[in-house]
Amino acid sequence: MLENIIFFDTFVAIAAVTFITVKSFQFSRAIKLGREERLDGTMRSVIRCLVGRGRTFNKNDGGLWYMVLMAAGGVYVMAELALAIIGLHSPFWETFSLFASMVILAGTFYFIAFSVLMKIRRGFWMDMLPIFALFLLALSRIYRHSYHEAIYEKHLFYYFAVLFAAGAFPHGLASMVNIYYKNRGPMGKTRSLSLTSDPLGAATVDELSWKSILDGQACANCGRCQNHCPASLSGKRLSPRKIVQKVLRQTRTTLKESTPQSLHEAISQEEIWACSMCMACVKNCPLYIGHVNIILDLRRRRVLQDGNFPAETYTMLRNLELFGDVQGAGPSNRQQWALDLSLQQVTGKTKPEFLLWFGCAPEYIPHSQTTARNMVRILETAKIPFAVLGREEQCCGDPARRLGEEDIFQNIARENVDRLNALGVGKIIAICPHCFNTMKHDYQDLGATFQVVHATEVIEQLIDEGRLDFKYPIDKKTTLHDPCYLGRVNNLSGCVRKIIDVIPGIDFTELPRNRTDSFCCGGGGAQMWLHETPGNRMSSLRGKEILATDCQLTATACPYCPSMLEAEMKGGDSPAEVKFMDVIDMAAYSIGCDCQG
Amino acid sequence: MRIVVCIKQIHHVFGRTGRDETSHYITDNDRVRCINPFDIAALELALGVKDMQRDTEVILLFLGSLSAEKDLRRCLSMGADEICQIETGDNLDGWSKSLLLAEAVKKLKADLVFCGEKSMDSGSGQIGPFMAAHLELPFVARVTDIAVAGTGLPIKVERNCGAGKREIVECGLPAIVSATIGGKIPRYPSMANKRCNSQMSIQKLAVGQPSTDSKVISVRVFPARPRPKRVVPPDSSLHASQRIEQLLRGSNVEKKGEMVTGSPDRQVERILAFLVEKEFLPSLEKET
Repeated sequence: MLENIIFFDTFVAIAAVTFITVKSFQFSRAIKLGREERLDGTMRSVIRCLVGRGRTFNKNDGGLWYMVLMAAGGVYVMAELALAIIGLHSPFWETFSLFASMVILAGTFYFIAFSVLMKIRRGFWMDMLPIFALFLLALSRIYRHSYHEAIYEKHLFYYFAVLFAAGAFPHGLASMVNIYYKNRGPMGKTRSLSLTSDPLGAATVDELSWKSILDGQACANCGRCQNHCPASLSGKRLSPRKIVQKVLRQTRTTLKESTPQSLHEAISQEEIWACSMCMACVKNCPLYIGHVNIILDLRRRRVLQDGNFPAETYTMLRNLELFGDVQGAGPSNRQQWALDLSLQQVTGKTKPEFLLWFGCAPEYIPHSQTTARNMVRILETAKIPFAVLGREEQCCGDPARRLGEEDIFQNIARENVDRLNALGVGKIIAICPHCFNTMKHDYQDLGATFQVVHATEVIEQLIDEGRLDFKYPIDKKTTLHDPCYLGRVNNLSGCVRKIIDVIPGIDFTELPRNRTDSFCCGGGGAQMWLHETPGNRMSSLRGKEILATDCQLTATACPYCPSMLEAEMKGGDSPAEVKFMDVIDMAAYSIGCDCQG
Repeated sequence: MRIVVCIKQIHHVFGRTGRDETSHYITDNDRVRCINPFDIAALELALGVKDMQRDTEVILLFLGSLSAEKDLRRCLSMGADEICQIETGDNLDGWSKSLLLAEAVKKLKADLVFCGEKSMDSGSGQIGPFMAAHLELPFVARVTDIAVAGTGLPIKVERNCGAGKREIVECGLPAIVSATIGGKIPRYPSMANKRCNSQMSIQKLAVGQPSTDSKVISVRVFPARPRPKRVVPPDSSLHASQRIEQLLRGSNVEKKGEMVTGSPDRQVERILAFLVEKEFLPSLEKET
């Protein structure tokens, strides 16, 4: 016990010293800069830290009461601390156990009343929740230990609670709650939105979901998200850290001025449209903050309510509306590449095991058409019965949803779900990871009854069952670019590697950022249709990484990645000789069933 | 100020996947029902006026039965106030259509009438000029931008005269203006408007059928087809692949002009240098 106490005391001392050092450093820097405003701001923040977040010494504001109560609480804590420390060193105080318990209970009720009083007055019940939790925790501790230990630990909790609530470490408390309320569902699932609700999306702090506000409170400002964000690394103005910090700042201002603060003013258009929704920030956040949800809420408001968003995407959205695909090539032009294949059209009567879902890119983009053709041949080689939707297939709606155009997404997705459910489809094989992710996670809200698997999953399963014979070697130095929506979001990077392992002759090198830490090609989140603003392109950063490995062949598993990266490699002054191939193509080549593509 | 925008529902043909020669290989699936994009450009101009002028009403006017209701409502959601339908039979020619529209415009007491330069399907571009003739109003074609000072004051319009030329025209009100694409980007309809307009009723205008015979009739329409290609017999001294290339290209003579390659920055430099050399642009050095 004594060791524990020494440990805790040391910890508290270090924390306090760090806090004072940081604040005094800020203070001295402000003086050195000689800026009145800055000094004022720092002073205010110091005062706010001492008196309470978002509060100043203002009598009319109830600040005086807050201060008095705070001081009383402080005196009580100190007294209790003294009691505890004396009690630990002399067994004499053990005799006053009943008295001590009463003290603990009285103190607890005082603190509950205090927090209720203050927090409800501030109109923000959520701040109160963690403090409640702490008290309950402290109370439960009384019955497990001797009361001195209980007092000691409880006072430690108080100590931190007061410190947290006072604003020194606001994130500390909120982060615990945030971790508790972390997104336990799949990472690729987007928050659904009812189109009849009002407001749509978010323009002010109070229109954000409570989780996003809590995210702001929880943020430790550590910058891991920013260090992994392809947009930040490629010199865009977007930084996930700044987005969350701006939400936090606007929340504080809202609490202080009791009018909801605008997020549109704080977060520029340039920032929200630079995001490629690769989920690197979400994956790398130690506190499980959902940065992308904030960006998506802002996008939804811009698109659905204001109609104020980059005009270069209008064409894509209009194509989705009119033709049901992102290229605007029209539904009757689907399956043009497959006229010689005699694929089985799905009908209500025949129910094959799988439905092969191609998606817009494999339908219309030549190099992806080859991939689709190869996937068909692999399934035929393995003698797996499958059917296709043919011309009734539509876009999955992923670009519209990630752009925030929920109306178009829901129309398309509902049509797809109704059609597939009516046909009684059991399992869908998707070739594009974006279709895969959207259909697997987002369609469930719309009542989808089918399962969705990615093509690489199916090939992996066929390898396990020994139904494919990889005989032709690919004697090339090969590297692998993991698509975000396969590796990071759906954790399927293993499937792709398994296929590469099986193919003979491959000299495989990993890229420095691989698997779940992969780097976005810059095509997701409707970035494919948005212009990349100043700085390096995301694809050029990844392209350099691929070139540095000195490989002749780069494997991918998404139609977007080769489009983005190939353009980057071949568009420059010195075109590089790197070939991009989908793992499906590689597998088909090795099996010996590929088409001449 | 009352603005009437005439819009047309068209069948946009995007592909030829049929097998039947008589229908030019076009099947029903190759069409999509939408609103003529030129008319959407006209609507955007009208809404631009509505943004700048108080008490402006934008009324949509269309002929015939409902075939693209979803897209019509989308137009309404862009910011128009009312939608009116003139019920007629099918297969009217431009003259009769314009007579009906002109009568409707008179009924609606419009100060300014917008229409598209032409439609995407038939593309005759007759409606605007004919309406102007019937109503005896001034007409400006191929407008890309408009500035309205107020009711009764003349308007200033910027029009595209083709070949890159632009003209600014002043015109008294009431007037008929036909818009072309390439000016403003049509706005995106908001969800709130979409929700309101999904149930909005379409007013039906009773307009008498045209009694006079058409003075202008299109006798025959030739479908668009590629220019006939003169095939030069392949030069047998060439390599087979070159011969195929020659057949595909029509000749083995290199086409004039040069392909700009390299990085985007370098390409821009080359294009700028070319434009300066040919005196399309003032010399860049003088400016800086």
